[in-house]
Amino acid sequence: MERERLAAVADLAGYPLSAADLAQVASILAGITEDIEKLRALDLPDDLEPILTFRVEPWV
Amino acid sequence: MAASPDWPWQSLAEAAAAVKAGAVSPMELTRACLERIERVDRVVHAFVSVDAQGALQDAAKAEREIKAGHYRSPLHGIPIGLKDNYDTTGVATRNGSRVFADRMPTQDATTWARLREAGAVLLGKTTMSEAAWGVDFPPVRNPWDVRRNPGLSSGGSGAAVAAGLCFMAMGSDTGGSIRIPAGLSGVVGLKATYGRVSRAGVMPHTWSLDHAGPLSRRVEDAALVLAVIAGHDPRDPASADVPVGDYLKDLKRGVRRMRIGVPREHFWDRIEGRVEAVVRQALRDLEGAGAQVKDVSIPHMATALGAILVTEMASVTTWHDKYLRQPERRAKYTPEVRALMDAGKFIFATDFLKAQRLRRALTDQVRAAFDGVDVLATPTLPLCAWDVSESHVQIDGQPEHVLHACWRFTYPWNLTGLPALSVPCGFAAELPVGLQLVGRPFDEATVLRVGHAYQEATRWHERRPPDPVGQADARPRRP
Repeated sequence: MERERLAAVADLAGYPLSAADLAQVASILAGITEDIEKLRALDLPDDLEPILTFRVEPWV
Repeated sequence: MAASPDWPWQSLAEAAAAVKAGAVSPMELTRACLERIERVDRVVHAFVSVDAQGALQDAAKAEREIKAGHYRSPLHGIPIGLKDNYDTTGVATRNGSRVFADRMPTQDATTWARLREAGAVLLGKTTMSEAAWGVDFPPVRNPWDVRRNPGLSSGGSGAAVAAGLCFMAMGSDTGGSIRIPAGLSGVVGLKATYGRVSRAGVMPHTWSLDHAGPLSRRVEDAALVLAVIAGHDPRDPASADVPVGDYLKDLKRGVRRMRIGVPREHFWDRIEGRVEAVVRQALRDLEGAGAQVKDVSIPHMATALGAILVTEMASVTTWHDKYLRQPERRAKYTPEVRALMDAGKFIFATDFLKAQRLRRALTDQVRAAFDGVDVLATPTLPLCAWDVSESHVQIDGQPEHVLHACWRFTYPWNLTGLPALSVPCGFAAELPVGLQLVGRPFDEATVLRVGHAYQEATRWHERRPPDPVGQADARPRRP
């Protein structure tokens, strides 16, 4: 992700960062984009709800 | 009996039996560990702080109690380490970070309180990466080759056990940080079911993924520790009020007719050939011991990495945000960790919720895979310990960031919360390889039983690393 484009997003989101910090963040985000895109592309059933409070229960 | 230089190499179970029988005293064990720390840890850097005086006082107290007939548990008088994110009253808990350099807890982590009540002797705090995040800090070295990394955030705990500096060390595991150092350093690492071991007083990383657990030399040691630390804790909102079983009762029953499932997807992709060969042999060894090994399918495994990435990045940043907003504190994070935390601000809520939907789907598929098997078995990692100067490794001819590579096989069990154990299963080019065993919710007993049977059949855990001090190319340094 280009630093300048991310800077605009950061300002809009209320997270202003220095140019140096933005460069590092852009590099990290670029490195994970492919995996997040795979997550977005995943076709899950319409009735599948998110786990909002993660707890493990015994299987019965 | 005089303190033997071999005592720090005995298993916790052996040391406990000797203490109970009066064959060795807690003071002798503690002195032996402290002497070894003094000699070796200037190279390994497994401990960030050592409280020799406090340890000797606790050992003396344990000795008096045992002589008076008040033997508390197999942990009584046993020297241990705690990762630097476990709260200890009156002893600094820094989470591996300059941000928390002056943090002095006023209450013990529940796990440490239970271990202390069981009579354990605290040697000190083990080194960890900053806020359990990133790879640049600290300079812990792998005892098997001090040019190499011993694993991620609980690397100090793994190195301490592997180097014979203590009998057990506690770690924490958000995406694999107990099992990864266990695999890379040739020791046992246990992440019990989410909620089985209290996280109260362990500095949070990612609320829905964090686990606390032991690293030890033998599976039996892990079972002894789990018996002490498992159980409901009102201080931890995720703590499960599920009865704790007897982890020792069936430990030595072997694996005859037990069914071991090996997932077809994900765990054999992009793995070093030398690592795969060792783990495949381990599966044959389990078959040789009487287990039945069969393939199972978990299709969502292949796409789950994005789910843990967004869950972890958003959660870590949320917890640290109040410190990131304070200019003086913000400046104390190392640039790499600060950047990771800043990046967490750009995770979208829609992706976070999609990740939590995938967790439910993944758990359903894993549950189906367990139909007809008792445990799952996989490699712990796709690679062996890498050189500390490397940020990327080549696997199957493809470059990959070490952070990306090392947790690929461990994070699924944080997303699902299932119990997972890494057991040393051999060596590739003189570097340890780990076998990961995964169980049903709260069925740590079966996971431990299979792991123990494997250790009895193979005895890889009896090998010791070469003397770190004597490794000619050791280049110790402090940040």
